[in-house]
Amino acid sequence: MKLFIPLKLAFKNLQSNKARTAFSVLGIVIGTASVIAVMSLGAGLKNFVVGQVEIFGTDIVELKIKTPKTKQISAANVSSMAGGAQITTLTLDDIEAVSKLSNIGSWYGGILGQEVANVGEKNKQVFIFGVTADIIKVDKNFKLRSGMMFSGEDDKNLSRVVVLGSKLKETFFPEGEAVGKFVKIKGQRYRIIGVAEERGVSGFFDFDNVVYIPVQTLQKKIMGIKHIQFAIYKIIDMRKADLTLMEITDLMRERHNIKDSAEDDFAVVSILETKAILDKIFSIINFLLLGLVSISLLVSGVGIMNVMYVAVSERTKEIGLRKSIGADNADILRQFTVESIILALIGGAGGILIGYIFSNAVSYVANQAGFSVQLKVDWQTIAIAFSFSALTGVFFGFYPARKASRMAPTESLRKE
Amino acid sequence: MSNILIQVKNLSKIYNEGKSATRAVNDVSFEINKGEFVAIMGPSGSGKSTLMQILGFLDKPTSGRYFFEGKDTKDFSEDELAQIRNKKIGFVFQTFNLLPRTTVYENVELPLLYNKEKNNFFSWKNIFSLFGNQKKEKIMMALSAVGMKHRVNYFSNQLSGGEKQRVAIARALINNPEIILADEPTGNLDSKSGIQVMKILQKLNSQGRTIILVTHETYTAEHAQRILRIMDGKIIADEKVVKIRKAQDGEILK
Ligand SMILES: Nc1ncnc2c1ncn2[C@@H]1O[C@H](COP(=O)(O)OP(=O)(O)OP(=O)(O)O)[C@@H](O)[C@H]1O
Ligand SMILES: [Mg+2]
Repeated sequence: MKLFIPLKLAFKNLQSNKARTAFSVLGIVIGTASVIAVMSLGAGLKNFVVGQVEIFGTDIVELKIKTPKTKQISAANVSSMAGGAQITTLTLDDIEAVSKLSNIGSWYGGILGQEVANVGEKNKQVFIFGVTADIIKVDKNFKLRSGMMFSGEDDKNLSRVVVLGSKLKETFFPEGEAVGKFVKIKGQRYRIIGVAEERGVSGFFDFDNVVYIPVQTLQKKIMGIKHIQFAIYKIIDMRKADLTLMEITDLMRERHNIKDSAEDDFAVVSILETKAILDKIFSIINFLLLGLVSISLLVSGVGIMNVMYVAVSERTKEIGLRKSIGADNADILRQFTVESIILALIGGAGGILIGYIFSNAVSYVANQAGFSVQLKVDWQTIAIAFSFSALTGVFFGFYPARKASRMAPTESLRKE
Repeated sequence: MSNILIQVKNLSKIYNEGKSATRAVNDVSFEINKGEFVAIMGPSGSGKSTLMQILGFLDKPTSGRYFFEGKDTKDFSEDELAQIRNKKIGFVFQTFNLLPRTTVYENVELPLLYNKEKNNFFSWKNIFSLFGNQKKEKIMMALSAVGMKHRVNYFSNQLSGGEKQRVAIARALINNPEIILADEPTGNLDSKSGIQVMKILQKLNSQGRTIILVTHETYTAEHAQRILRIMDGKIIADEKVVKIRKAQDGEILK
């Protein structure tokens, strides 16, 4: 029994019981495919989350108001803000002074208010987003569908012009143009000069249900205030971002006469800090994925084990017969190992194919539904899934065969 | 050279040693010469199959000694025993034990695959056998010896019981063994098929092959030259058959 005969024999045996062969192959196919599916789903989901985060840009610093003696990301700050404890110390002058720092590029700032807006008979409580004109340069998700954006001049002149979010346009002007028409806010008429592109719900805030307005117009004509809430700066050289953050903090403390950092009435938030949080989230996601993959490996491993174990165990009698006509243990082991390897190779290849098709199908469906999820089946995934299923298959083909081959022929012949 | 093929001394086989022990074979001693046709006879449960399996190296005795061709079988390794089963012994089972979903040809071929010296891949014999002629000839010869040549391409499950047993005998013959061990080969057959099997065994014996046949029927046993009677694992009689029955068509077995 050199190599040629066991191979020939194995193919003959696999052929002679097509149902059993098919079940074994199917077991390995499903095992391999499900591991590939889970791994690529996990990787795809992770990439999706990373992508969503990166949409906001990684080169951005936010300066915003904060309740003193609380951490910016803390329940205390959030609840004191929500409770109406207004911090009114941040001004346009502040954020403009910060923008003069050396490593800072384009920027915008603003404040969010709420008013009732109406067009003819239609009334609606809306968010009014007072921003400086450069929002269009900084926020890559802010684009105009029609009309134009207000300018710095409009801001200085307290012009009564607005840009509508895409849903508001649909609410007030379901048919026809909005640009050139007027919307009434607090009894005053504002000319609509543009309509924003739809941008979807981000976090819990719906930017499509917003009226964009020059920040000073909002401050003076509608809200009667002097302060703002935040500013967003683009960093020119991210390698010096840490230094820039410190400069911003120093400048703000100087302007607000703050000696003790606990008294800070502002916070400087960068993607660098967010990144630390994100890294934590990703390590959790990775951990979950690892768990998920382990479970899928376990489940498919047990599945393959069952199929192979049963398939070989029910051949105990055959093993007894082969031994009774002169097969020795090595012959039996060689035969079953070769058969298992063939099954594992066929099943593994089929599993890769099906896993691959599945992942691409899911990507396709998700993309059709508007999610930019891309399930990637990389070679590591294939290698892990394939080698795991193949090894499990071969081992659990080998193991019962070895057990059976060690029995006396009479003993295995008695098995039904 | 001695004419003794098989010699057993104080052979015992105990199943489930311990509290529920069964002494299936209990301290038996006998000799069988080359070319003999011996029937082992006894009631159900008397230990016939157990004894036969030990003689055919399908199982090992619990105690006692077994000399095969003058050699103590205790000294053989597992692999040597496998080769003895392959080349020197042809076993015929009551339940045929053909591989299912496999052709008659492949069933008869099976022992050839485990015949070590012939299957050295680089041997001339094997290179010739790759062309299949020599091997095919052998298989066809074994099949014609049992009158089954015409079913060579049938699958084993397409055969009648008698045909299955004849294929099983062809398989036992393929490596030209010293001895044929048949454990109730007619037990699952009607009398007509049974006679055919007995006829084949008698023919093989007349060609010089040693035959050991297990049966519980006196009539069948009388086709042999000698009867070993066994009861509760012990040999109670060892007698010559005075009037050997000749298996021929038209005769009724039983
Ligand atoms: N594997 C085994 N384990 C335990 N006991 C066994 C085993 N095989 C046989 N026996 C017992 O050994 C005794 C002899 O069995 P054996 O099969 O040799 O009888 P037999 O003469 O061939 O009977 P039959 O004519 O019914 O085939 C019986 O009592 C049987 O129950
Ligand atoms: Mg029996």
